[in-house]
Amino acid sequence: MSKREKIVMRAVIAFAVLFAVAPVANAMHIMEGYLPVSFCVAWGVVCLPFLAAGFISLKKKLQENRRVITLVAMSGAFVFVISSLKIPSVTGSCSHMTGTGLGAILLGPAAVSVLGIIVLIFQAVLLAHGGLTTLGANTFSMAIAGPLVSYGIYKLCGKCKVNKRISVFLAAFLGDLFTYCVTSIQLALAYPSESGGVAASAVKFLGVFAPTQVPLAVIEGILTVVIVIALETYARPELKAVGFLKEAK
Amino acid sequence: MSEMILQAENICFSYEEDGRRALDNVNLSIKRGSKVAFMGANGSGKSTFFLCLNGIHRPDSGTLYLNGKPFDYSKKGLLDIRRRVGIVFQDPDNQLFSASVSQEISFGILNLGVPEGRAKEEVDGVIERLTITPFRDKPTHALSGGQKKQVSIADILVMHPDVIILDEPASALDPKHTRIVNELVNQLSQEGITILMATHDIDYACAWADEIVLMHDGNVLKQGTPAEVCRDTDALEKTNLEEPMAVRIYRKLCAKGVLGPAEDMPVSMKELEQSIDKIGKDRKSE
Amino acid sequence: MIVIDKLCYSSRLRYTNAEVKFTYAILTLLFCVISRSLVMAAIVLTVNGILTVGKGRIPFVVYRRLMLIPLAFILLSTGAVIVNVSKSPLDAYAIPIGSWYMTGSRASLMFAARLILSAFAAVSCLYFLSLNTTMTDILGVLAKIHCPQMMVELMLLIYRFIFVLTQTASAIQTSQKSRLGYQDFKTSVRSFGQMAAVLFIRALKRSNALYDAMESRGYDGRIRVLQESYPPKRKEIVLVVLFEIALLVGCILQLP
Repeated sequence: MSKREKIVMRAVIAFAVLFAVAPVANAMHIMEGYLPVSFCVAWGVVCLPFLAAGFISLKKKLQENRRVITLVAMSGAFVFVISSLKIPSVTGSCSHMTGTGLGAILLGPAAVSVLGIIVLIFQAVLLAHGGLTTLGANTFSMAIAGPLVSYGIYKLCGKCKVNKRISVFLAAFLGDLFTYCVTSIQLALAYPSESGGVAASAVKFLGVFAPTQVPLAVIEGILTVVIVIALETYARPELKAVGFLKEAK
Repeated sequence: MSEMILQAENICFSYEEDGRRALDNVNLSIKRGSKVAFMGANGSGKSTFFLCLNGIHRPDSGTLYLNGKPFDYSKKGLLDIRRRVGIVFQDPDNQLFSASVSQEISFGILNLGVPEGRAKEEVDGVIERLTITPFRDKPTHALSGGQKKQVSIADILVMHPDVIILDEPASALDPKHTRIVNELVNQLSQEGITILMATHDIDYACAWADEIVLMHDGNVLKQGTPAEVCRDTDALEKTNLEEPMAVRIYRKLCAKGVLGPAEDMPVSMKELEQSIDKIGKDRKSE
Repeated sequence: MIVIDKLCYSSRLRYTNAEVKFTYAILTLLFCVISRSLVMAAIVLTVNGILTVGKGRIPFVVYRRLMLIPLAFILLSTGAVIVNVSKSPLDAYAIPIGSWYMTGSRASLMFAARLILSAFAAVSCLYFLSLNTTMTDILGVLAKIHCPQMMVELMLLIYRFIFVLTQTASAIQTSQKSRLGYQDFKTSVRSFGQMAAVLFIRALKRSNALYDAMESRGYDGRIRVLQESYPPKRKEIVLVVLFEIALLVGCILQLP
C-alpha cells in the first residue's frame, strides 16, 4: 500500500469507529443544505398532493367541529415533544423517537402529514434537526411514507386479527425502517455512486445508517407498544376523541 | 337598567360523559356592582356554573338572564354575553394560547370587532395598567406563575367586561402576586365592575365579599351576607368550611366576657378590631 | 429547555425587521446550495458568524456547539459518498480487498469538500434565522406570504403548547426518576411509555380547557391577533440586496 492509501485506510478506520460509537442516533432528518436544489424542489412537489389531501381532510373536520383545533394542535405539540425527549437506549447513547408511527396509529395518516410538516419545521428551527431546503424530502420520508406504512400495517394486522401488541410493534418498527430506507434512497438519488450508480449508492447509505437506525426502530417499536397499550387501558375516551380524525369522509 | 345584572332560574346541567348532574336547580341573583364569593368543595358546581354564565355551557333546563333579558344563544348574542361576562380561569396554562404576551391580550378585543389601531391602544393601556410592561416582550413560557396570572387577567380586562369571574385566582400564587391580584380586584370593584370569585379562603371571603354563595352538590346551599352565612353553622359544616378566624376569636372573647354578644357578629378581622376598639369607649362612657 | 428558543429572545438582532432577516437567510441559503462554491461558503460562514455572534451577541461557545450538531450526519453521509466498492480502482485511492477495491476518485473528494462546507454554510443561515428571530415573528412572515391560514394558526398554537407539554413531561419524568423509574433499560422503557401516555391524556384535557378559554373570549374560527412588526431600516435593506447580488454573481461566475 502506498503512503496515501495508508492515510485513507486510517481515515476509513476512523469512520468505522465513529459508526460504532455513533454518539447521537437521531432519526434520519436530512440536514440543511445537503440536497441539491433541484431535488429539494422535486421532493416538495411530490409531497404536495398528500399534504393537500391531509389539509382538506383536516379542514373538513374543523368545519364540522371547531373544538377540534386545540385538539389537533395539542396532538402536534405532543408529537414534537415526544420526538425531543431522550429515549432509553441499550448503549447509553442519546436517541430520539420520530413519533410518527405513534401519530399514524392515533391520528391517522391525513392528520400526520399536516402535523408532520409543522413538526419538521419546528424541529428545523428550534432543534436544528433537518432543514428548510430539505423540508420536502424529510416530509415525504417521515410525515408521509413512513406513517402510511405504519397505518397500513396496523390496519392490516387488525383485519387479520393479529395480537394488538405485535401489530403496533410491527407498524411502528416497519414504518421507521421504511422511513430510513426512503431517506437512503433520497440521498442515493441525489448522490449516485461513480461505480454502480444509484443502486450502489443506496446500498452504501443503507449500510452507513443501519447501525443506528435499525436498533432505533426496534426501540421505537417497543415504546410505541407500551404507549398504545397504556392509552387503551386508561384513556378510552381520549382515544375516541382523537379517533374520529382517522375516519375517512 | 335592572338592579340584577345576572340571574339564574332553575338551572340544571349534566355533563355528557358521565351523566352526573353538575348543576341541580340553581337559583341565584347577582346584584350589579357587587362582590360575590362562591365557596364550596371541588366538584360542587362552581366552575360549571361559571361556564354557564358566559355561554360556554348551555343549561339543559332553566333560564339565565343578563341585565334582565334571557340569554341569547345566537352568534351575535353569545359574542355580547362574552364581552360582558369574562372568566379568568384558575390555571393560566389552560387559558394562554399564544407565546407572545401582546398577541395573547389582543385576541379578545380583536374578536369583538374593534379595529386594529384602537385595539393596539387598548392592549398597551391594559399592559401598563397591570404593570405587565417589564415582561411584555418575554415569551409566555418564560413567565412566572404570577406573571402568567397578570396576563390572563389582562386578557379579560381588555374587553371591558361588566362582570369578571375569577376562578380561585390566588391558588398557586406567591404572596406578592396574591396582593397584586387582590388590589386589582378592589380597584375594579370601585369602578363598578361586578366581581364573582371562587375561593376556599373563608377569612378573605368574609372580609371582601358583599355576598357569599355556598354551593354543594350542584345546588346553592346558602346565599347571603358574610354575617348571615357565618351564622348558619349547618351550612358551613355541610360544605366543610370552618368558621372564619375572626368569628372564633369573637366567640372566645364573648365566652370570657370581654365582649358582649352583639347583633352584628364581626366576621372579619377588621370588624373584630372595631368591636374591640369599642370596648374601651363603652367602658369610658359608663 | 430548548436552547435556540431561549436565545432568540435575548438576541440583539431580535428587533430588526423579520422579513429582511427571513429573506436574507433564505436567499443566502439557496445561493450556497445552488453554487456549492467553497469560496462563497467560506464567505457566508464568516458573515453569519459575525452577524450572529458579533451583532446578535449569541455566546460563541453555544454557537460553536450548535454548529456541530449536524456533524455526525455530515460525516456519515459524505463518508458514504466518497467510499466506493468496485472492481476497478479510481484515481484518488484504492485499497484492495480480495478481488475488489475500496476506492474513491479525486473528483468525488473535491465534491465532498464542497458539499461539506456549503452544507455548513447553509446551516449557519438557518441558525441566523432561528437564533435572531422569534418563532412568533417567523409566523408573522409566513402569514404575510400567504401561507394557508389554518397552517399558521396551528403553528401558533403548537408553538405555545410545546412548552406547556414539555413542562408537564419534565415534571412527570422527575417524579419517576425520584422513584427509580429509570434505573435500568426495562424499567426505563416502561416509565417512558407510561409518561408518554399520561402526557397525551393531560394534553387532551388541556386542549378542551384551552378551547373553552378561547371561546370565552369570542373565538369564532379565526385566530385574530396583533402582529408586532419593526419597520426595516434602509441601510439593512441596501446591505442585504448588495450581498445577495454579489452571491448571485458568484453563482453565475461558477466560483470554485
